[in-house]
Amino acid sequence: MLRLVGYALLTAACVALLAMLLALSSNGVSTFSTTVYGVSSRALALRGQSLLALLELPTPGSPGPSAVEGFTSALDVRVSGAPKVAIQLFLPPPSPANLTRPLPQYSPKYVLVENLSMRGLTCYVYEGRTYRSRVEPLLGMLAGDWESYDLLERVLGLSLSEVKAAVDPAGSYVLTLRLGNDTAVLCALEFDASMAEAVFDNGTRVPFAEFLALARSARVKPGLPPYAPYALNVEVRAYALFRPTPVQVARALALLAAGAVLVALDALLTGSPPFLFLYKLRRILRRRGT
Amino acid sequence: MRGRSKLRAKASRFAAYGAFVAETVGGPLATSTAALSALTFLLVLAFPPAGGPVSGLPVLLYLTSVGYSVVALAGASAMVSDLKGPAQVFLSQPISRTAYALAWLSALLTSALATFSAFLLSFAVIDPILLRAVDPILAAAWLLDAAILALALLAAAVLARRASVLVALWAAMTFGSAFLLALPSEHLRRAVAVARPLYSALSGWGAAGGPPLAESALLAAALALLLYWLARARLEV
Repeated sequence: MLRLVGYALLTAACVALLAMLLALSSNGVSTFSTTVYGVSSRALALRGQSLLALLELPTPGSPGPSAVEGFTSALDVRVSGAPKVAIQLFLPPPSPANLTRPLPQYSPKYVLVENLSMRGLTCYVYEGRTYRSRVEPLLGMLAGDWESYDLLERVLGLSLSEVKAAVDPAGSYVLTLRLGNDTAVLCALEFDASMAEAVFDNGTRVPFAEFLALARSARVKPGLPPYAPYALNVEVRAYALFRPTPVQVARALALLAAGAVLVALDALLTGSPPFLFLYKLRRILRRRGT
Repeated sequence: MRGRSKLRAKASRFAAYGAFVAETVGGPLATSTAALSALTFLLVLAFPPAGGPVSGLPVLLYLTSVGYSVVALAGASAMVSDLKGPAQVFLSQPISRTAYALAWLSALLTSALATFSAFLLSFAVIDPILLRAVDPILAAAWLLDAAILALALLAAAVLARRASVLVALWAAMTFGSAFLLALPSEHLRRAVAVARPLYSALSGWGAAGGPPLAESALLAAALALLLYWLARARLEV
């Protein structure tokens, strides 16, 4: 009866080897794919004439600590559209200087920034632990001070790797990220703000640079609502890629060897030749064929 | 001395007949294992690595059980055809009736073990960490379930000697059980949970105490005794 276990192990090993061979020949197999929703803006930052929107990409399917061997997660990111950015204005905090006049009742005020043109997209991959412990607090600080170039540099400098997007024929920015175990992704979407205009509630349009100067003089801090710049199309597709490792191939070969040993042992003990069922199968097939 | 050589001759005859039965069951077993291994691979690939195949494990266990049930049906049907012809040759002298039934039972139980081992090892080839997802209670339920099915099919094969009866019993046990578990009758559900412990474990019925493994083991023992009695009473020499 050992041969039955041997046959099962041999078959399982052959199927595993075949699947691995297929995966290797096509440079990895992807069978799981999902569209990622919930891309959120973490901060806005100014860099010269550029406005950077920092988008945090959720990474479903990216392996956690119990990642399965041979699997890597990948993200396909595509960004397109003519974006507008809604900027939330925060009134200055109470201080001895402004306590003398009554503070208006709090309600968020938004200013729309239009005529932005996309200049580029760069995504930064972080180690999960670094992202949680060091990058997130910095992002919190950056959200309150978008002119801190220093903070921005520190945020981007902590990344493990960066990938610049290419522009496809349709004018969209596209890139593919390969993610390792426990990683986080932050994408910096760069807009050219030289021609941008700030649009106020009453319809007044002022150049973006002028708006900045006004905001500075009024000590009004611009912030960012917790959603992505709108009129912007951000498509993120996450998928798992399987590429067999040498250890996996070795395990499949060990399974094959174990099956062969069991079949040989049974044939030796019983004196009955193995794989007779294959002859039976051939006979049946021949009979059907004639 | 003479007794020992007699025993050895008996053992070698049993081994030779066992090899014949194993070769009969080997074809369906290899086919079913190939299909199940391919399915295991596909399902593991189809789940995100973070969740792993854990979320698909009940489906895989169910399909593995259905795959084995086909092997058990093919084996029991082969026994029915064997009883109509070649068995007479074996039963007339070389092996006893009990040994004859035991050879088929061993082949089907070993096939169950082989199917389950191949399923687990397919996981282990991808990553041994995946084996942690297989709960020992679920594994015990799977093996007991397969044993009960094999014993019931073999008992029916000896008793009825008709392949159609086996197919009806197989369909009732494989597909009927799932429907019966959904019925409101407590007694009926309890009976099905004992007869198909895997189904009760997977459907979450009796979740508080888990599948009734002790009662299922008793049922398997009772079916083994019934098969032994049927083999002695119903197999002609």
